[in-house]
Amino acid sequence: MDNDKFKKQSQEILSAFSQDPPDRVWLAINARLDARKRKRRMLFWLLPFSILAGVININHFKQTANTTGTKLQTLKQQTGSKADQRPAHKNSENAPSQEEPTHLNPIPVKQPTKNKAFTGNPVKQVFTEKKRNLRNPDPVALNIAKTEAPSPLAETDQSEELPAKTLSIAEPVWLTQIISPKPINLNPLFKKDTIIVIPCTTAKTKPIKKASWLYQAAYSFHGTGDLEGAQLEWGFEKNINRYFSLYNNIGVSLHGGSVINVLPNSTAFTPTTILPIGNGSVYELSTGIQTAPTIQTKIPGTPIHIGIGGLLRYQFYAGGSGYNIRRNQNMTTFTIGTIGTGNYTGFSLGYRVNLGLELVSTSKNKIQFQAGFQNDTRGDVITGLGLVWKHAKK
Amino acid sequence: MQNEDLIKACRNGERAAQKRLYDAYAPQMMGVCYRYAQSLQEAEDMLQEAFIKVFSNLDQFRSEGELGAWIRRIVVNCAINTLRKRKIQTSSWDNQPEAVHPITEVDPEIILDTKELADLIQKLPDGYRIVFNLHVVEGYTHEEIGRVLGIRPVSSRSQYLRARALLAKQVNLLQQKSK
Repeated sequence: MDNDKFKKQSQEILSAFSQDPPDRVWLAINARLDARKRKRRMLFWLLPFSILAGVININHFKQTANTTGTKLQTLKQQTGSKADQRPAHKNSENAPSQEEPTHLNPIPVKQPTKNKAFTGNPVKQVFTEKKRNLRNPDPVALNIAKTEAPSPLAETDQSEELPAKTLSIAEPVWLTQIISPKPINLNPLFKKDTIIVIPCTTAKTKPIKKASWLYQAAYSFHGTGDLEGAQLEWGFEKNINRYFSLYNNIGVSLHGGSVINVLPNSTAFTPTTILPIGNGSVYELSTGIQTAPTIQTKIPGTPIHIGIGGLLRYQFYAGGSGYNIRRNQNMTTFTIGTIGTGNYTGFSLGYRVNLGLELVSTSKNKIQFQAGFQNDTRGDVITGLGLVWKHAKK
Repeated sequence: MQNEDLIKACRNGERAAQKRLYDAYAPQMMGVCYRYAQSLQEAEDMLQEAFIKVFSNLDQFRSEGELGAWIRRIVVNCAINTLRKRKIQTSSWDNQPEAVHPITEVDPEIILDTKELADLIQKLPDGYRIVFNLHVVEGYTHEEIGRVLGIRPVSSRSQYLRARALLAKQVNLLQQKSK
């Protein structure tokens, strides 16, 4: 019997071989299928919970940033006010005492316009009261503005004669008007150079196809969250092996928002006209184009993907500018300062990390929910949440 | 229920349909697992793993192909993966002394039933058994076996020849006993 005959005979006999498996095999399969179903259900609910947790976290982050900003501003204002008043002290022996109680000098609230929606925020209550005072300006204050600049001695005398009610408007007041795009100073409280994006990259569960096109859309935050916007990306993914894939993209981002600034270069003055009233904020905008080559992997046994990669970003940042006026606690003088965040354009390098959760997976299409974080050499930070659609290349 | 309807129902996660699909193909696939496994218990584990994969990946099945062949491919891959996890010493495959299982030129006429032959194959050493199954039953070439198992095609050929020699010897012994 030759080799081929033995092989053929073995093949014929073995191909026909079958054996009934015991019932316990099906019972085990059944139990595992049930477990997978439960796991899928859990993952289905994980998505809305993740989004909810993300939103809560962002809100908490914003509130923390505002509180920190207010505290810093208080310190700045206290030191700034003292510094501003120094020239006046030199000219007047009756200059206001630096030992005045701090409760007479409430914090000028730097509350971004978009945060007005927050309720229950004590900072907002102060801000609202202040706005109410501005809408109904005190006649004493207006008289001060309309009259000629009195001597420091006269100012002191006048302030001493003010009734108790007038003292209530002696709070510092922020008046702002945008006057020019001239960049002057960077905001020391909010890092403008910081962008937050929602890096949505893709990772695959089943490397059926070797390459895929990727489309991403994300809601994202630039910096501390003052600038909100979106990020769109188009990419191409290639499987390196069954565990890792390499992904590259080109993306654009647009973020904008109102930011309230402190007065970094304040100068004391006495106004001669009624000043316009604003909310103390300026609008800032950042746009960018970037590419982020990323290596990705999937956590075994889960639909979770992790990616890390480099970043090359070209960004244009347009910062608002203007002036900001604050009534000093002596009620007769004001402090004016120019504000501005400046414009800049340029390249930066950085890194990017993303975390993905696979929601839909077919042989040709995959949809993922992704959260990401990126940071670059300018200090730009972009974070966000979004969806990725992955379409297998034909 | 037509095959397409059955597949559709299985894709929707209907447990009754999945049971029907299992009942239809499990005996044949158990035979495949039995040939690759070292024991009945291991064959059952392989079958279980394979059907989980079948139900999980059924949306990737193209209707133009034959479902049985597709399931069989999954079962074979599962069997190979299971044996890999058991860490078969593939590195020593090239160094098997020929004296252990000399290659003979004379092959016997097989007059055994399928179960007897399957039992003999199951008793072969891991490397012999896998290569013999892949080459003889699944029709893989030695190059393909080399790629799947991460060994040289020459090693695969050598393993097959030794497996065949050992199997022929066992068949002879068994047939002589039965006479």
